[in-house]
Amino acid sequence: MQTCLQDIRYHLSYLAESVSLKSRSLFEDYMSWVKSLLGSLGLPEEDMLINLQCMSEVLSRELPSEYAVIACEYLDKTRLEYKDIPLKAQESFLEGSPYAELARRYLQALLDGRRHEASRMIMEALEEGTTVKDIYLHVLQPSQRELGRLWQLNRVSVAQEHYCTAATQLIMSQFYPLIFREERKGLRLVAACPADELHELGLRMVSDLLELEGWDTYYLGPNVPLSGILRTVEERRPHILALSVTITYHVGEVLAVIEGVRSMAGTGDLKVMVGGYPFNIDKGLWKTLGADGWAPDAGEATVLAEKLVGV
Amino acid sequence: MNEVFPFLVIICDRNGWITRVVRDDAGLVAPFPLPRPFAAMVTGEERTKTVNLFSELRERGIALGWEFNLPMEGAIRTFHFYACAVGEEFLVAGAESEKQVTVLFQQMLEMDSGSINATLEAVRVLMARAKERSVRESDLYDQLTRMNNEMAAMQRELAKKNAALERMNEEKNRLMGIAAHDLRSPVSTIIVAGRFLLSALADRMSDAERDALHAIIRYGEFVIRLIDELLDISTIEAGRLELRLQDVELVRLVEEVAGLHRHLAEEKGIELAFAPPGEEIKVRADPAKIEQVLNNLLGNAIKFSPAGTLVKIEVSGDEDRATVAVSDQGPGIPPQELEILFTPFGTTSVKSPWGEKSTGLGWPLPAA
Repeated sequence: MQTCLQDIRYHLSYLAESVSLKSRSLFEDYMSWVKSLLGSLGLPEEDMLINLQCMSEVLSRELPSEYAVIACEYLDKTRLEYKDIPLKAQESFLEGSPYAELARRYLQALLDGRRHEASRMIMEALEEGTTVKDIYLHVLQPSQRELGRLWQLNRVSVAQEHYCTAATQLIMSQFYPLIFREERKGLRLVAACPADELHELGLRMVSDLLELEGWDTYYLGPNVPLSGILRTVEERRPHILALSVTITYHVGEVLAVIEGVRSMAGTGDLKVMVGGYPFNIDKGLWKTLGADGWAPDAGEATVLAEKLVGV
Repeated sequence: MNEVFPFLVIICDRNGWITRVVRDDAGLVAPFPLPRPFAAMVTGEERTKTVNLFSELRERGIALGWEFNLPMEGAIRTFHFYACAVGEEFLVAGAESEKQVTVLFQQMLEMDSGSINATLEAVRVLMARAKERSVRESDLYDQLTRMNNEMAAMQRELAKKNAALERMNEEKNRLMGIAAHDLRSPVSTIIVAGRFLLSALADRMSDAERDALHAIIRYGEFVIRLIDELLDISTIEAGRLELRLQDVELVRLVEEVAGLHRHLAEEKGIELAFAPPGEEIKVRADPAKIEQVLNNLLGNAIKFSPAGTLVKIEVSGDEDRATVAVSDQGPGIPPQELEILFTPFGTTSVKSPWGEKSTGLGWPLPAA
């Protein structure tokens, strides 16, 4: 019963975020994940349909009508289309990468707890002439995404996930002597994950890759309060502010930051770009939030940053 | 009886949800969060049958020999279940061999109800503890990751600042090199002009005027030396120092340098002693740089030695290495200041008895 209640709380927080962002696709994507999960637990589809109907009935009574209309529309459409919602069955992220073999060996080493060996593989690739950029985009990025996929499939433990991410952070820090030695070209970026977001590696990659391109990047990391981001923007006067979240119900925080910087004096030229899972699901979400651009991965983010400042 | 069968012993609530696992050899329930419907374990078409199992349990308090097909390791395996009510809950036991499960069930039923309740209570406490621990651990993992994230962000900031400092230092060296170079020629002109005046006006000057001119020349030479040392430091720090290596006879070189300093030492009442070894010592070196190093070492020794003391030079060597040692009887350097000795412009608390100035470059250069 408790689990059931917990599930409904999750459904409602995703619904609330989707309604406030007017993005039905975010809720649909979440429902697709729920459908896969319930299916793997062997729970009948009817349960979820009843659940959706109950939520709709209760919300139509309890919510102020302007919200109730949207919330019930999302719930009712999802219920009617539930049978046709595709299951989340992603392919492995490691296939198709030009360094698939290295990425596979790297992730396996980390999953086995052999971080020194994983680090050695990366350093050897670097010595053999692989660029930092290729390692980021074709080894570390797909490995992290694959790790997330395996976690969703319940094939890796929480401990393994945290270990692999920490090991990758450490390995990335070994690139710093290479990353920070490039000539500057007078472009500045401030990057931050707003709210209590634990997923910070993607944005760190974007910052490092732009630093490699000669940008001055100020990476604030995750869990930065709104005031901290605004203060840094004021101090550094960046050309671009990059924001990233993975959890859908953190998107509201991104909106708060964008509204915050837009209302600051002297930020007329500041461009804001956003990224992370919710933006990949709802391709128009960045516009809703008032951002200047969106990129689906670290590689495209560097291209977008240069485009936004007209390089 | 030798064959090992996997057992499943679980506690379910009255609605057929598994609330606790007592034994789960095959990992049928363990990977999933509890409570979990018993129906979730069986294949699709048998779900209604599980409803019937629990109806019977609720009605009669016992259900014996129910078969269910469970997907396990990619195959379907048939389990036999025996179940009975214990208080408000149901004890459900299952195994692939009916014989095994009846034996197990028999044993459990033979326990008096007090023992069963005590066992259940113990299981309940253990489960509650495990759940609490798992929640706590998950929270700790998140905390650890937060700390790690913060440290990673700080480390990145440090690495970035470090790189910026290195760049600024290189720029400083470059500017210092340019400034020193630009200063050198006007100061040279001052010295040349001073020397010219000294010889041209030799007969017409008072002693005070001659002293003043000497001071101009001496301080001019001091500034030139300072500039040359600055230029060397910036070259060395910028990593651009090139050595012009050639075959050098070390004993003769030391003798020449010592000769240049002997006069100054004698003026101060300091004895400069050099006893050359009987044989030549050939080394591969840049003679100008070796001379500069020796000049610094001897200059320092004479600068800090009081009158009436000895400055000793020793040269020795074999096939692999040659050593030139300069020792004096001056005050020495306090041990706690040895570290700053080799940093550019770092001067120690030791004062020259002759009131001479220190540039702070005398030691870093030979060390470089």
